[in-house]
Amino acid sequence: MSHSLDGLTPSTIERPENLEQVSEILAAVTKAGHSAIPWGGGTRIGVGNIPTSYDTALDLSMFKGEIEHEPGDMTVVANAGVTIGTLNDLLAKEGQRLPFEVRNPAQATVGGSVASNAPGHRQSSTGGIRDWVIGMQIVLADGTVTKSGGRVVKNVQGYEMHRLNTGAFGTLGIVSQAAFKLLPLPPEQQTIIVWFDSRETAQDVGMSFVNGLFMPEATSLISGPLANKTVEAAGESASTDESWALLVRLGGGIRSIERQVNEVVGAAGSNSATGYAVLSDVAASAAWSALDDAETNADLSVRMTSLPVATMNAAHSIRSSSKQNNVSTICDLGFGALTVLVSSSDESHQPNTTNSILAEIEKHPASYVIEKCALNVKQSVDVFSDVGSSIALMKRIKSQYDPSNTLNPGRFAGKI
Amino acid sequence: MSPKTTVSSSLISELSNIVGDQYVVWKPEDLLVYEYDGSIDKAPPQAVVLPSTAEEVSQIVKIANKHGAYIVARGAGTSLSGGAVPLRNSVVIALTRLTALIEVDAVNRVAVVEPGMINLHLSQKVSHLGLFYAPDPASQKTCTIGGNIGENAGGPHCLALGVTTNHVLGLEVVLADGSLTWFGGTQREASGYDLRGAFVGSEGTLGIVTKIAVRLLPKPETIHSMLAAFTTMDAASDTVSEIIAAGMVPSALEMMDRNTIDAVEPFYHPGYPAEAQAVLIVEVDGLKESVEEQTETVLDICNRNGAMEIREADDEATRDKLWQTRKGAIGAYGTIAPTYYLVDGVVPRTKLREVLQQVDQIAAELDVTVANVFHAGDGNIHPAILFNERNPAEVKQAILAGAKILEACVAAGGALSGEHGIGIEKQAYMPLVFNEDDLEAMARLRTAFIGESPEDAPIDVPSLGERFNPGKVFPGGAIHGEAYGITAESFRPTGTQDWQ
Repeated sequence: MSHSLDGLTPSTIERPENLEQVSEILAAVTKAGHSAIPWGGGTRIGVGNIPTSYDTALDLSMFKGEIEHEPGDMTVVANAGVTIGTLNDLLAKEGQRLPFEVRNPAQATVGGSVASNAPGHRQSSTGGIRDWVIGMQIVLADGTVTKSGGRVVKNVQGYEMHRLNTGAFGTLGIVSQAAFKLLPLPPEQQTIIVWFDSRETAQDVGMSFVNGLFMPEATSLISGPLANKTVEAAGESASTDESWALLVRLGGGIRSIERQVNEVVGAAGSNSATGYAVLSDVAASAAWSALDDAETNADLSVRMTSLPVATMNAAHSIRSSSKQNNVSTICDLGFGALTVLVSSSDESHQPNTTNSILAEIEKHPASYVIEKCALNVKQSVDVFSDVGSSIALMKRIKSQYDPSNTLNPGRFAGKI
Repeated sequence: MSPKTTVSSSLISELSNIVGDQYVVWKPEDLLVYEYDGSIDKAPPQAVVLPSTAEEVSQIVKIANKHGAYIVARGAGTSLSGGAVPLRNSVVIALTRLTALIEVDAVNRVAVVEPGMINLHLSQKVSHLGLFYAPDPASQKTCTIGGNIGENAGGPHCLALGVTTNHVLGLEVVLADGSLTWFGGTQREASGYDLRGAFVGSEGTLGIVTKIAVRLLPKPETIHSMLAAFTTMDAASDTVSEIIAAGMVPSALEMMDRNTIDAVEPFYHPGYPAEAQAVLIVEVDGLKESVEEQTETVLDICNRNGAMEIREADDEATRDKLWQTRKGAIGAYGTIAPTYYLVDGVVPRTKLREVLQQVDQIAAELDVTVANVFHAGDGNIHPAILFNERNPAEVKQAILAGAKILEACVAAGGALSGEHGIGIEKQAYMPLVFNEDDLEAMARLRTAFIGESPEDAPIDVPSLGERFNPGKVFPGGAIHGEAYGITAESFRPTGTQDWQ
């Protein structure tokens, strides 16, 4: 059934179309002592612990309304149910874009992306969603509509509730509307793929890009079976079974792009890369899609956030310790994130596999979230890494905004 | 005259036991310098203590709790909104001895610093690694990074690079019960609620920051600065709009008006054209090729809008000279009037011209002199209202003019503050933007941090919600300009403008 989650099925599905309905529904759910799980496009709904209760699915995908885009101010305001794809199509007409990317933008919504702090390749250069949210409207569990921040690109007025609620997975309130700061579309974009037989060289070259004179829009270092798959998706072929692929996307004016391409190609050549290719738009799109598809199709997926060098070290140790060749890793070198993807993993082995991945991650100063896994993994661990000594404060914050534990109960970090 | 404060001798001796006698200030004459900051409000603390470690800060908080004293954390005291003014007979914890650069990781581009480190010092200390710390408030030669955290400070280069919150990775914080905890770490994201995001810009009301992990950025290959003079403010404003419309985000877009030009001429002798009504600074940086491309576009737009004169700089010495008038503008206002009140409001960039005209009208109506120097790129205006502090009537007019300007900003769809914060100065105006539900939701965050019932709160602490930096941010905490005869009735917003 639609809106089922972790084997649980809600008794009610609500599809509000405007703010009043969101508020009324929430107030009624809370008053009845029921629980509600907010939904957007459902692309990241599986991220989270098993809900301790699930009465109502609050599906916000119909809550769209008008999009307020001010090209001259480089801001946009949209309701929860608007998809990221719709938003970017509209912005592109004025030569602008959301600074962040998400996977599956045709389905992912503003509300869901903000609430789940959805990652994307461009965070390598522009940072996460939190860096671009300038204001927010939040509906609290009791139905109270509140707001923080503003609609201008720069504002400090009162507490930044919009940052607190970004990545809070709707546990403190429903993100009903968000205002974003925008960026211009770069005049040109160019993706280059470089592949290596040597891990050390791949790492050094990758870090030289993110620490060099220009920050590529996106810089991903891929290892495992996905590395060769990405090289193939780009229309090339790697010579060995075990490659490291660097996928780099550049942006800028024509002359700037030309220089950047020369720098990347030069670095590849002087560091004896096994091969490289400057990709056509079609090939570039296929290569980046290969990463997204791998994430979508993985049986088990863990995302670690740490120092860039630590993510590479963790990727290496996780790859080395896996006995089967079904583990791939993607390091986002500009941001400092590692995604570990395990394919064709038997469900019964998943808890063990997960534990060995987490054991490697925990050797570093890092946070992680198990983004995708079988139910038996969720039954045995918290899918979010330990938040440390601030857990008591986080629980107090939760009880301030949602004292009856209506919203997404038990699904957040620390089983909040 | 400041009201008298009371101080208990046992409090002083307990504080001395922690940090040593020489680092506890309590004699009234020694406390004078801690009564004020960069704003026009003042209040005396009961004592000032200068710890040298996070553990000492923690112990001080516990002692203040025992004595039921409010606590105000203070950096360099450059706040322009009254953020560092110690209301309610507070104990001030001055963090100016906590200046260490604890760690620099050049490969991962992360630094960990103590809160008393001066903003500019960090960039200077990592310069040899080809790195810098991006937020650059005008006061960066004196202001501290801890204070920047409190106010979520900005600066001219925040247009392209973002404000303080975009550069902070993690914070070590002393909470209300004196416990030490970390929000975030050295990585970009952490599990759980983004407490670092909630803390940055909370104006010292939620806790005291004792260590800060920040991102460092690689220095650009090339920087090119341009300065263009225009015969009208409108021509300069159009230039700004067209630069943005051309799909560029310059690293800085700064504007000065005629009054500001008049103020800086005798100081720096830049020799701007006599007929110039506006001077615009545009800076682009990045790869040499990118800078060349952007420079061509900017010069073209300036010329099309009738720029009378254009100056360019691509080396550091020339650039410093070009920026000298902008960076020194505020100080130079002293040539026009003894004191200034620097207002900080934000308007949608497309409404800049309209609001600047309103600022002129307000100045004329209230008979005050206003000079403008501002971050045109992000619509962050800084009208400086010039007055003589010794004439209470002038001070009152200045404050009222500031209120009207902020009201105009909000009515245009803008914000009360771009980078100075709310503090004492703007709390009465918060209802212009936020309704009771919004403010109540914010107050709950403070309750979560400080505690709401005696059972989960420190013993004998007065007014629990206002444990740290009392009387700030929220309406009703203090009256801006009270010393100059302003009362709660002096300023009544004429209407609320909800941004929703």
